[in-house]
Amino acid sequence: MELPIRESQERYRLLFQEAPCYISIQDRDLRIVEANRRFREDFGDQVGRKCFEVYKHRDKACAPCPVQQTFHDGQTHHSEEVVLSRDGEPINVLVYAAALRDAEGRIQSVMEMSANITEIRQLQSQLESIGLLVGAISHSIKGLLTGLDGGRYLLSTGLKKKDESRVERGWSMVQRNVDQIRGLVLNILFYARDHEPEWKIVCAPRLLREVTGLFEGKAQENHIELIKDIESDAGEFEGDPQAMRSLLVNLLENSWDACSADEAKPQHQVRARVRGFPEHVEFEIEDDGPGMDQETREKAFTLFFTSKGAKGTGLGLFISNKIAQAHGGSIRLESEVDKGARFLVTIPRKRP
Amino acid sequence: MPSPNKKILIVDDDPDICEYLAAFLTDNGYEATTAKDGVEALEKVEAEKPDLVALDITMPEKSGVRFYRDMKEDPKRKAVPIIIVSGVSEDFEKFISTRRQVPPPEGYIHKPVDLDRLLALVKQHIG
Repeated sequence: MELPIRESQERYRLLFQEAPCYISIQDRDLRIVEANRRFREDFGDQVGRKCFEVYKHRDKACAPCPVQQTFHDGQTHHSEEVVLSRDGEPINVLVYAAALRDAEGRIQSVMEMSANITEIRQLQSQLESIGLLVGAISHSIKGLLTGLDGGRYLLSTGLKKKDESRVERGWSMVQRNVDQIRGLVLNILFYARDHEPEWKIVCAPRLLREVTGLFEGKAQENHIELIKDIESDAGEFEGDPQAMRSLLVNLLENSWDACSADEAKPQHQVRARVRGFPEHVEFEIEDDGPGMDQETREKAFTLFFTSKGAKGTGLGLFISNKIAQAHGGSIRLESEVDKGARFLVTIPRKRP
Repeated sequence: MPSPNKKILIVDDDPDICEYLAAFLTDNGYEATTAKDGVEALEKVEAEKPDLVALDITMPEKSGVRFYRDMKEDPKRKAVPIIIVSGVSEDFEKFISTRRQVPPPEGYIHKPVDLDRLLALVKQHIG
């Protein structure tokens, strides 16, 4: 008799360890009592620590928490979450919580099973962003086509009327709109995944001056003081100027929106700073807006995550992060609720 | 040829499109004047008293929508026909359907512009 029992125990043990999802057993305090191999691989050996500390790097339980719900009513509960691996990589998971009962039917612990759906979500995000892009692109193409039609009209009627000035204006209209279409196509390629940066020598202080220049005009009407802290000998780096411009514009826009939406203060400050180091340059965009809680901070660079409601697309910080990575650099975010936010962009002087 | 001095105001933030439509309408016997945003358009309405307006509604900062409302809510100006020329019409249709007191425009034209249709609409309203 003993042998078959041990055999079947061993089989269940194997099933638990090798199941292709993260499984943990938790007690009423959300403490992890046991975890399977996949869980330990991606989150470390965390037995004894609390679920939300391990998965979310936070100090309070999530609200709502599917495990607590299951302890409460004995039913299975599920939710979708973004958790952080021990390497700090965000992972999208579908979480299921199911009660484990003792012989008397009392709930002893809860099993939490999380399926990694990061790839599905990434694919979905790509499809969604293609949809958004197509809408924006088709609008500008309609305008550019109208411009091309205009050029064609002036050219053909100018030739008929032998009106040289009209022919010239028509031709330059055609050229202008063709150039704009070229720019549009470059932008699309730039958003597409496999676009190689167009490497040039970029002057860091000049770049930041250019970008802050775009915001100076609207500083007063938004009650924001734009402070430029530009080290004029911060020097040059190898980079894609167009991409780096978008990165900095995205970060500034982010701070700007946060400050404009913050009604706690009548006046805000946004500081844009650049400094040179031997091996890298460092851009810093800092605001004294409402700041972010831990969850917002951790999801900030995730595609389509936005805290701006209908006004945000969740594209800006995602693309900025991609751009920094393509330059061999990184973006660090420091923020606390009521204490503003600080983005620190490090870009190596030499391309990777 | 239409009667002399019928004047059309073209409002678009793209100077190429202003020039294009102005050349086309002038070639067809109308007088044309242009404006790059809603504010300039209101000044031109005041100064030049156009008989019809061709308006791009999707200009930045909603200045096209505001101009439209100013025109149609003003008893002296609401008789001036307005033809909407736009790449997207949904925004404007939403705007119109939420405000019952604002009358609909006299015509819609989508970009890229069908010139025959534009001319037919203009003729229908001001001859």
